[in-house]
Amino acid sequence: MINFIKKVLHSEFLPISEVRKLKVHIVMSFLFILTLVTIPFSFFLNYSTLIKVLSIAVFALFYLLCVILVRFNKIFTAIQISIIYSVLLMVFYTTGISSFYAYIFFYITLTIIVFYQEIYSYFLYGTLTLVLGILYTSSYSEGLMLQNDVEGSVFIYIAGLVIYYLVSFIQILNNEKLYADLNIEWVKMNNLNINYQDEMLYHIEDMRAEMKKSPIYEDLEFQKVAFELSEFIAEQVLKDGKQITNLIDLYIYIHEKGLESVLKNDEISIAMKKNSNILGKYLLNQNSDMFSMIISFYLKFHQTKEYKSNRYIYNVENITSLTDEQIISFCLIYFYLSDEISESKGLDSFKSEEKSIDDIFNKIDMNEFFSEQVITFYNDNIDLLKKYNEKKG
Amino acid sequence: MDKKYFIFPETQHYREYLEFKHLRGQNTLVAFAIFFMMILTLAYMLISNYPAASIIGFGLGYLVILIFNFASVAYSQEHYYYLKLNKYVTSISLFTMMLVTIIYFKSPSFIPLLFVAYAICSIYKDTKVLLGITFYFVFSMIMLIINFEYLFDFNNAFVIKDLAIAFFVLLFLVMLLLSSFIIVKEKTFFYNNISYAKEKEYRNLALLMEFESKEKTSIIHQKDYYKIIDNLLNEFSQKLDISNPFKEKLEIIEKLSNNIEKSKILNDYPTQTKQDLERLEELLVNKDSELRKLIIKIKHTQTKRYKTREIFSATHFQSFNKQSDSMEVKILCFVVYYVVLKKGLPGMKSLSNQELYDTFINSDLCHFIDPKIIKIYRDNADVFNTIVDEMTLGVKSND
Repeated sequence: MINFIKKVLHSEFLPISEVRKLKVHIVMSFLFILTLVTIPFSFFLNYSTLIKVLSIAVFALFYLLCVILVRFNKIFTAIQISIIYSVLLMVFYTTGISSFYAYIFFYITLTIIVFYQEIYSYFLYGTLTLVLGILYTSSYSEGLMLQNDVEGSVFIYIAGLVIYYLVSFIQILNNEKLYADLNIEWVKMNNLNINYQDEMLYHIEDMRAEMKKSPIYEDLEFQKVAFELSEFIAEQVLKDGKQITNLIDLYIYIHEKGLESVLKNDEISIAMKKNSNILGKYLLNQNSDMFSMIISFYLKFHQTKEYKSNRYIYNVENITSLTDEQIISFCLIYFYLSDEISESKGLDSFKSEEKSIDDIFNKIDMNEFFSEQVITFYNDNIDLLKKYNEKKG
Repeated sequence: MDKKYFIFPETQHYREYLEFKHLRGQNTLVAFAIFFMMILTLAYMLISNYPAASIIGFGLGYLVILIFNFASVAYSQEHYYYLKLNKYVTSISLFTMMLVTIIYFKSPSFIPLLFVAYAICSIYKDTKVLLGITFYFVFSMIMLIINFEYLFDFNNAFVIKDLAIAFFVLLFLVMLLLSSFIIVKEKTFFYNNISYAKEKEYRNLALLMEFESKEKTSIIHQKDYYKIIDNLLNEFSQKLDISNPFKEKLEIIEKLSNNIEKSKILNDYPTQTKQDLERLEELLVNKDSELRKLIIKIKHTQTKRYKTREIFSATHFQSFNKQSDSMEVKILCFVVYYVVLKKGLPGMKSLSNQELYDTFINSDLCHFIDPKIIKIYRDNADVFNTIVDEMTLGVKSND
């Protein structure tokens, strides 16, 4: 329970897929409480005993179905089932009863649907809930009013529900747009960092070769410590600590043989191949998640300049506001990158097949890096730049 | 619960920038919703023939909230604080407005307006706003039950109606709070990751420059671009029929790249100032300059269209605490991570036990490692230190 609460409180550190799973768990806990309450509450509802028993049995079945779906990681289906489950509970609690509490149930169901932040589910089930809510309010209005209530109180009840539905809908649409934009920005940044790390890995390998050192995973001391520490942790967390030794053996073996050759090897069992595939994300000799996290940790201790508001602006205008200096900068960039392309070493650091500097400028958004004047200079003087680039050799 | 610091402290600034950037849009939505509520309330009062003074009173109430909104947006150009203040003031004012509406009309049909107000305020996606309005909501309900008991005197004979209403209102509030809280966390997830990626890029570029500078064979130390650029810009000036305006600055940049004393350059070029030289120093390609950073960035940038599957792929999220990984894999990842950091990769210094402990335990990095593993490390840091120190000592003696 404490772990679950901690997970909710720190859900900003979970990926979207896991948050979605967490949402299902929360709704399931909520529906579980509601279903439990239904048992004593049903004594006060005007249903026959058979209907009550059948309804509770159906709710229990739905709950079980949700549990199974979550267990097998069918989260989208579990979401749909939990929404239908809450709509059915709402129908059960509101049918034949005229009370303010029953009216609140429409808000509860709408909130459950909003919680998932799925446009189509909200449009379908949310609208259904709204229609049922309006029908309920108009049919059972007498139980919602006071003796001398204000004029048109039924319409106020309906208006409240409609506004709540609309505000929630706008919020879902707004979130959908916001999260899509943020996600694209994040993916772009991630891909850029992956590109930088590709080059970093290349430099690290180069430096290691220069130092005539063996790769870290071949270092016997490294292996010994890794085995000792893994066993130490495994003894306290797992029932069987031996599995971890085999896994580290496999991890080192993948480094030596390469992931592809391990996966193609017919003598290796399917279970080992499955583990190899998982470990592929954490290899030390590739631009993996492991390498990326090592770099991140190391970067924390790398000297950095004090924060300024223009820290993340990469544009010549950010370096100098003077057009003549911007043009000199552009020429330096142009010739330097041309050389990087033509140098065989430079080619390794270019991911795609750029053959000339103009190919690089074609694949980027020039406005991100250069001022209008510089872009005009480039467009008007492409031939001149090419001529001197060829002269430079 | 202990507050963990961010692995890169600078991310805090960009997170605030993102918050500010999106808060303006959220503010517009809230203002629009309040305006809509105002129109509906006034329309109802007009149709139902309420006294003009009451209609004007309600209209003024809503207008004050809206004017405060517009003023805050205007002042937010000066300081972000105004927009922040606005969301708290607007939330409380809107709730108060709804409470006044319920009390004035003396009808339970207006109670759902509190739910609507909660939904409107949750557009801000702010934890403090959520907690504030939750307390206000609870306070409002208790106050209505105690002081305006007649509001719940419905025309029905349902036996446990009071208990049922209390229970379902509480249930609704819990669900609403949880729902809004998780939505806030989803937003925080993106803000955290984008600001983290931005700072990581900044530091990656600095590290790449450092690596390139260490490499003796790197082209940045070999080529002389100044002569060729001088010729090019000369021809360009002739084409425009002007005297070459680039010559002097190009000469200065060349001198700076050849480590000529700044005082000597200032003597040779009296029209230039110390600040000019500092700025021109950032245009050197053979030093760790802003221009070098820009070059590396351009080299690695690609504008491409992402497919939906690619955008929402879970692979972008780097963690050693993935639900899909077994405990054995999580242990292996942590141990390899820890030992590599302690030993250090080529070109990177090895980290001290204290640096490792402090970052693992006190920074947000601990959320990316299984809590059980982190607990074992925290409780047995001495054991970990002793084991890894043996390794480093071994390495030193081998050397």
